[in-house]
Amino acid sequence: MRTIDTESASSIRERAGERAVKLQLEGIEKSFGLLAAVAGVDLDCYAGEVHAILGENGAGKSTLMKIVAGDLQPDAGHMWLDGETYRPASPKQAMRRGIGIVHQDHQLVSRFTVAENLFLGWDGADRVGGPRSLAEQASAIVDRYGFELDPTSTVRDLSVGEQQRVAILRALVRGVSVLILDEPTATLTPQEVEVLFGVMRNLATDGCAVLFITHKLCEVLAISARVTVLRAGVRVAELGAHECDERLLAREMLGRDVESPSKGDAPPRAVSEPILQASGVTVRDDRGSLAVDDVSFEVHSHEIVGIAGVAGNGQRELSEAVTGVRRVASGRVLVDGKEMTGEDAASYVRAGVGHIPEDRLTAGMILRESIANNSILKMLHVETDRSNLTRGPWLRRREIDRFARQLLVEGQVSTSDPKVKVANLSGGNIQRFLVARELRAASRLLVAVHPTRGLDVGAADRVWRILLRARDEGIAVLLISEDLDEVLSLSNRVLVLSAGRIAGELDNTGAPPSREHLGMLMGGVEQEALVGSAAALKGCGP
Amino acid sequence: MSLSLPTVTDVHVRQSIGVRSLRSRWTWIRQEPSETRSWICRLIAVVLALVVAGAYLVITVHVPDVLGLVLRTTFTTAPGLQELVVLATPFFLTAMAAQIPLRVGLWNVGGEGQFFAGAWLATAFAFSLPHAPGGVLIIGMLLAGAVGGAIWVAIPVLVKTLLNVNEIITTLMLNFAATYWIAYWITGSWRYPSTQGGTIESRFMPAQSNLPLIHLAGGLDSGLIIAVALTIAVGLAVRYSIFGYRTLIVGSGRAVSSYAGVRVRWVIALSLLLGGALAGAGGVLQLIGNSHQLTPGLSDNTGYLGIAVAVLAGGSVLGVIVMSCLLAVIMSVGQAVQIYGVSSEDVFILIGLLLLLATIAEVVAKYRLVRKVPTGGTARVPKEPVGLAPSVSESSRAAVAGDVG
Repeated sequence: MRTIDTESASSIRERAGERAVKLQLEGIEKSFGLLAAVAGVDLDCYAGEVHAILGENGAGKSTLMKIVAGDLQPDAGHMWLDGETYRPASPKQAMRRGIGIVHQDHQLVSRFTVAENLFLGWDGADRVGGPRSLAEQASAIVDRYGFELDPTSTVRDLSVGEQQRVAILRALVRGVSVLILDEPTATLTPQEVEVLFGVMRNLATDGCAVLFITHKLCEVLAISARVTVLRAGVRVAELGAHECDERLLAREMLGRDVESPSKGDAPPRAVSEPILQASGVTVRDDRGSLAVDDVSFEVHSHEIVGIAGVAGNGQRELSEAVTGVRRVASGRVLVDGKEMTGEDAASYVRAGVGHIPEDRLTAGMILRESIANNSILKMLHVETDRSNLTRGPWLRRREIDRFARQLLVEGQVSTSDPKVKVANLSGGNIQRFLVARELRAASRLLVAVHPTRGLDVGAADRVWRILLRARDEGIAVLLISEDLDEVLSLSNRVLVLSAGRIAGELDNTGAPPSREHLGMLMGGVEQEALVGSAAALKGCGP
Repeated sequence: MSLSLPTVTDVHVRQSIGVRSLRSRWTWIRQEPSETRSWICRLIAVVLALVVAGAYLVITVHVPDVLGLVLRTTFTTAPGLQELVVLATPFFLTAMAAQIPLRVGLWNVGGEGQFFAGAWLATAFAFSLPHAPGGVLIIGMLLAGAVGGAIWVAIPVLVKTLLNVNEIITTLMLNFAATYWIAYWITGSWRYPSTQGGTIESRFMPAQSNLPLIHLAGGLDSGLIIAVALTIAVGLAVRYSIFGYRTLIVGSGRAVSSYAGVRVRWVIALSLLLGGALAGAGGVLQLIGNSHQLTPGLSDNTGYLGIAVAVLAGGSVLGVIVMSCLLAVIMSVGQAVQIYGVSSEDVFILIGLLLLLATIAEVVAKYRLVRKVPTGGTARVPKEPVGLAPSVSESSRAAVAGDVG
């Protein structure tokens, strides 16, 4: 009822030609313990516009939006929605007043199916029909918005990107009048981003206010009418999108100028030798279905090979297969010409393979353990390290502490005490520590999966430079990332993974390949079919 | 809708005169607890449980100074101390039997059965070499006990590692099997000849296998020293060995284990077998240190209470030692007050309460109340309360511009 009221009210104002303030925030503050995440932010969001919230990781964007969505209660400040006091005690209350949010971490019920997640807590659906009816209604919704999802699959089995799409859909079907999107584009292909932008524009035209949180400058300029820039929990600027460019936004966001690292040129192929050779590799996922299907490629020394693709197209399984975490169903994996098929992670470590995993907090680190204990997670497999760190069946604690301290220095971690528990480090520090540890293991090959996900620009920059330095030292680097910019700015060659197969291989040494071309490959159009085909373009577009 | 208007004023008034609620000045933060912190919380839990138990005693038993009387008897008289040592000794090893598998996230609730299995194999060893010298017998029986306990847990290990059968069920069920296995032998070929009905027990162990007494307080069971030494040795070994480190990785989940290249099955098997061996050795200590006969009451639930000790102790060996002694005190006091009409069940209620509070303490240890430091936000230039018109704070913008430029 409420939603309809406000929508009609806003459309009346729309017709009258005046802009209505949909949502107004004033002096919002929120602290977690001693950390002031949001320190007094004002914001005005108008109906019928896309309003971007720009800021680095940790700038307070997500916290602010969680307050708006009723997830968190502000310590101070006030909010108005449609001119009325708005202070949601719960996400449910916020939803009832037409505020929907798509979180960065999706917040789906992982054991439920896509359809069940869409309908959970929503009265708008016919729930009598049972699972099959739910699935049918869900696929109708999925088709309406043009997303690629199987409504009957369990969310737990979906990739991060697919889960995010479910979360976006969940908010959309509830008919929101303020839609908050917390970094929604990170895991989408360029075409899907276009689809999403189309949806956002449509919503805005319908009188909806869209709050779009991002740290990607080009997206801000592409979609939003106005930009609020946050830095360290404070609003530093509010700008009309027409009056700014990327350089200005970057300076506002970071408080300084930044330049992205240039990848430089790889040495000619003759100098390099193949380190990782995968031929006909086929891998099954946890459900037993084919995740990687007959994939063959090589990674040479002195080069970074990037694997681009939308999440859930086999990246995880492929990265696990070439590091020994997951068995290959068929095919061969060779490292340095040595047969590694069927070996476990320990053998890969011995072969000089480092691995920055996708789930660095659950797989790559033991959070409740000390830095010292985490520093030797894999090192005991390497003979030289083992003889240094252990004596017979015993650990040499003092040597391990020294080793951990070295890693802390190499990773530029904020602490130098190896007894600190990893859980008490920040995300950026954990990642730098992990990268330092894996670089130690990676004497031949480094497999880096989403190495900068969740890092701010400064921390990401440091990781990029580390990867480039590793390449220059002759290490073969396999970079798997959903961030197309990251893949393109670092890789010498780009492989596009789509539905478990390599859809295309692109040389990235000269001029970068066109994004459209890449996006088509990511969307599953094979390289051969692409050549000058207008029909293919049509099939992929929004 | 109009009702919400006064709230606006309220907030603005409170903001403008600088009044903030107490709640917003203090806040809980979550963190990984330090060792000392979680220990303090657990000690508070123990003290709370004891206070409750003491109050219950004082209220229900109408004897003046009952608590002081019972505690004095327990700690200052020779029989009291002897009883304490007898009660504490088996806890150490059955607690370790549960604690080591807990490191890999497995619940060995079969300490009771492994305890009996160890005692059984040791008895078999002693009866087959009745004339061996004492030292050989004692060491042989302890080793046989360890082997027996490990054999008893071998079946759960096999089905766990090969078929992933839940170890809680298999280890628990084998406890009952062990009881009947013992009953079969002590009513059969090992039966003590002069028992007339009533209790059933085996023949006495060869006399030279009896552990010597410590000449303190009228003779204390020297099994205590062996139990404590074994506990400390195993605890240190687990802490400083590669195997111990691997149990820690496996206990952190499958994702870490396969990422780190640890052979999960081996670590699971070894930790359970080690646990079983310790429980078996515990059974032998009880046999040669205290009862000298294989009886159905040999364990007196120490296999189960060991699990409680392991939970109370968390991951630490010192915790096992302290909590074993504490539990022995509780059991001993519990026995003493039974003459005043307190039932033995009350003791188990107290142990339950202790476990409950300790579990709560474990959670509480993860939170900490801190005072908030005033943020940049609170020092913000106070603004005039504005109505519903869109407002952009010019002052903050200017400040920012200066900051950037």
